Amino acid sequence: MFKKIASWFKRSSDLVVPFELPLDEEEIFKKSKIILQQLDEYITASELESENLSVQLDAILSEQDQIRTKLKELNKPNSWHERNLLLKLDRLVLHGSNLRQRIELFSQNIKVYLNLMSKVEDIRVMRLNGLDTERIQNIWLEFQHSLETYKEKIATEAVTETREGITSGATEERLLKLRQQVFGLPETGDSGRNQNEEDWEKEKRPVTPVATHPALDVAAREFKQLISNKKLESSKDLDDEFDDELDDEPDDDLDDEDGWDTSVKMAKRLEEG
Amino acid sequence: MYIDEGSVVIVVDVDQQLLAKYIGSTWTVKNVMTVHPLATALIHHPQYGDIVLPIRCLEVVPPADSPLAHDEFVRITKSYSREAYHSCRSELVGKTGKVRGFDTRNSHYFIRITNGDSGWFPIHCLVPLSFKGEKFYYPEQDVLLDKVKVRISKIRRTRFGNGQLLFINGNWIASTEVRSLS
Repeated sequence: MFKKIASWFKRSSDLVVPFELPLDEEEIFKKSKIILQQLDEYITASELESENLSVQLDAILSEQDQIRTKLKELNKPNSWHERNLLLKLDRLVLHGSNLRQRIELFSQNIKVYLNLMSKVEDIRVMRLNGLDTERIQNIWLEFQHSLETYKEKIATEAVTETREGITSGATEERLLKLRQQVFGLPETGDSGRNQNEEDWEKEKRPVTPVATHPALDVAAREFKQLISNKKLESSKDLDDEFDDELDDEPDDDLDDEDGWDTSVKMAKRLEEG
Repeated sequence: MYIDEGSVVIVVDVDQQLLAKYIGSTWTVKNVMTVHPLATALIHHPQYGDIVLPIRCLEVVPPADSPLAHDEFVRITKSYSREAYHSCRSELVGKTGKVRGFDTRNSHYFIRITNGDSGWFPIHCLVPLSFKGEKFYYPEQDVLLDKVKVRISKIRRTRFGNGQLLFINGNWIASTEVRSLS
């Protein structure tokens, strides 16, 4: 058992590149076949592991939901049973976040391996084409530098124990876009946040009253009065029309001039006010 | 040929001209009728529905976790395997063919050679041509892992065909981490 745990620690500690990379381009060309095989095997193993962890994570998330429902149904505030459920939920949340972090690490590692594989294959092809060895060496050195930077980044994040560095905002946005593409959901914009969150923020925002002018209030009141008068007139006119039709008399014109004059007066008042 | 219920099959031939458009499509076996003089299978497709076809018109696709895929090129390396306790057609050794069927009872592959000859072989007698690694390991084979003799339960091909993953003592181990006994 101890041996198994020790081997696991050994593997997880050198998760980024699990074997010694040759420094010389000549050596890489010689060992390219075995390097490619090792990288390919680690990619497949990481994919398998990541898949298993995802299944575990889903199970944990569903268990969390079950506990939340139980807590709601329990309705025993400050009881030991409730406390126990809360403790269990807390443990599950921690376990879930650990699994999520490990899945993201595996995903990052797969990307590094893929990049490394393509570089090794590039070197092979260049050597076969008879390209300048200095140029090939430069490419290899550039890649090693980027790999070192990545290793440092991972190490720093392990110390600070933050998840933001591993999954940056850009990655999250990209994942969200991918999800929208897969499920055919409407795009939420560049912010990458949920529509529900935005709605909630809108509701939360206090409603500020619009600044008004006394002259505008008067004008609005008069306008309302005018509309109500107009409605009354139009109803009277309709009655008249109906009577006229019955009596075969010519129609009375609907007088809009009065309304037009009032609106002109209102505009003038506004200008003065 | 033995076909199990739930197997995935490919239609390679038809007994009625109307069904010719289904040749090459993948179906799932719902039921097999072997009592009939001409053994037939009721197969289902999510788009086309259900049809009944003779078993000779179908080819069984190996399951997803199988090390060899349907229609894959393989080389026959031997005619007898100690692990599978099965002897095969020795005249086909050294030839190259394609995987054209699978038997779920004993996990044997039906290999058809380019000249039309064919035979059933276990995985231990075959090597996939697309494998680019140093050595191909087989299930039930004994290997050395950290100087300890262990037995491989299952094998799995890698994404780019450069290597293998070996299922040993409940863990997937890279084939570069083990040593062959032979």
